[in-house]
Amino acid sequence: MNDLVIKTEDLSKIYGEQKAVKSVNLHVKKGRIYGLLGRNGAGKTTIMKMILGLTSITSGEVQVFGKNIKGQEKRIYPRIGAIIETPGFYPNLTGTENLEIFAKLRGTSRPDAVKNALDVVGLPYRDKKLFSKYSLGMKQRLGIANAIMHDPELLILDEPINGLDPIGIAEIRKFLQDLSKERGKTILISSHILSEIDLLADDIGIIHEGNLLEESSMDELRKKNQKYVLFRVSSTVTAARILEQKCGGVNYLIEDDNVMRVYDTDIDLSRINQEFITNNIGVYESRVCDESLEDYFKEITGGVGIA
Amino acid sequence: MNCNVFLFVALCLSLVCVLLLSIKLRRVQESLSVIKEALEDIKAGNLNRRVLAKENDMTKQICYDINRIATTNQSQFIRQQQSEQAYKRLMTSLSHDVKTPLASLVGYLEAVTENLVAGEEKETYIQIATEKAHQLKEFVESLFEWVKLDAGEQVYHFEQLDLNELTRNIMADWIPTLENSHFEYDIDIPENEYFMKIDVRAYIRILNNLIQNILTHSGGNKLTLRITENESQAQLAVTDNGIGISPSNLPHIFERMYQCDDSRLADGNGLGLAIVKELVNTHKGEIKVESIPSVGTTFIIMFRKVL
Repeated sequence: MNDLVIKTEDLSKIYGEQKAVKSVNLHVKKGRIYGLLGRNGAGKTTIMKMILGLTSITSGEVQVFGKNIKGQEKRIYPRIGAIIETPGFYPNLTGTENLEIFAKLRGTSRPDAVKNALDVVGLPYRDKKLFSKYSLGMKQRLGIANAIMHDPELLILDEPINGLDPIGIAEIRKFLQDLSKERGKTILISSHILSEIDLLADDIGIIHEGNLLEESSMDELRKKNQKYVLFRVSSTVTAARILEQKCGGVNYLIEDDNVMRVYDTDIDLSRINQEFITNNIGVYESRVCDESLEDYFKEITGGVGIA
Repeated sequence: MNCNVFLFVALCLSLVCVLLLSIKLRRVQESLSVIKEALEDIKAGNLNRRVLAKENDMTKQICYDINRIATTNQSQFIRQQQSEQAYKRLMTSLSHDVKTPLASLVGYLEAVTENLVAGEEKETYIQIATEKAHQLKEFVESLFEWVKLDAGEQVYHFEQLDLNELTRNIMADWIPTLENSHFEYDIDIPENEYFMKIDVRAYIRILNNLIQNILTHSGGNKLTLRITENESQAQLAVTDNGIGISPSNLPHIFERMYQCDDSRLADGNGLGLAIVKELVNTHKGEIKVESIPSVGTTFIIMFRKVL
């Protein structure tokens, strides 16, 4: 089975003279949370809109569930739930009434779909409060309820935590993680906050001025950005002993016969190197790796950084 | 004449009927083709697929039932996948946790066999190597214990026992060790008898692991054990005055192979608390942990009097 839920090929969007999205090749894998990270105006929303057919595609192609969306809209869109910008609800109706309208239009996957969706985001069912009286956080929650009401396979959420308080953010984060881990949903989410993507996403795509600069799994990125000292030596067995004796209490890990990592980056590297050499251990490499994610993004965006 | 009019009206009516029915048939056909497509998708393994039904669809109930089946299968499938992943993670960290101490053990032994050290130093090396070998042995033993627990192969013998007396006996055995480790202790166990169903070996293991954990990791110098009881349940609280556990680590400490970064080097294997939790579960009890960094940590276990 095809493991990619969304795949774009050279997706581009030109507004007049301005290229908003430039040849983006996005790969969203099944069952994972894909975080689209970029500053405001980087092109995140435009990409999502093109995937959802809310704006025309200048060139390139979008495949969802392994099918080109062109001409398949009616079959594909019921399988997606989305929030793009502020969701359009009727201000003079209650949350429940609003959802009931959408349920009628779209069809439902279970008899108690509206109640279930409200339960999931923590809004009361059959509450008298009109949508116009909702707080920003409640509006955002109702938007999410609407996006998940038909139990879609794919969620596309544009900055879903905007306007939520810290507790609300943590709740939504937990909820999205459960959707992905416990129920196997695929989620494409955009944010301009690196720490948020870091906490939530399995894969990350970095958008800068319309270009997809990097696409990778968070695990890979984190591995790259862990703080440790890497030693490549002739014998880790002997090196471990020297290390324990000379700098008792360091935290280290043996990878194989030649590679070991020391997790205290403030150790005296020159002293250790010297100790190794006096004990006849060949040191081929000793390198401090302590680049943070932020540093890394600054580097790939050419100094501007993300968020 | 009358007859003709009647026939004409009947004809019209039947035409309208045919028209209505064919429209209806069309709609049912459409929803059947949607159902067919979804079923093919589900059959191919996409358990996330849902069939959406509108309010008046004749096939509504069928759609809901298909969705129910897919949802149930999906959650089973995901549970299975999760346990597979946990197993994989266990294997990876296992290989590291055996490799690192083993490598340093070999390091010391090599130094001895290659005559790099002599006299007293040689004795010390052999002693260190022996200690490390013992640690490894303990690790492998607790690992087996864990695997047995996890696979549900452990056999329990629950007996009606006096919790207070049993706890007093276990603590009596601990006192010399506590004194040797310069730990103050405050043990508060009610004088009366409190009979409940206990598996002796499991209960001893629970207490031993908790206390050993405090001795090796807490960094404190005072241990408090308090039992409070009522008609329905007994509460056991074990407190230390050590470094505490940071809020980010706290939710994970009962996970197998989880070790706070800074305790990786200390003796221990990340299995102790996981085993405690599993054993408390078999007593249908509950375990909680509360901790304030640099003030101390309290483990609270609730046992039900009647299983």
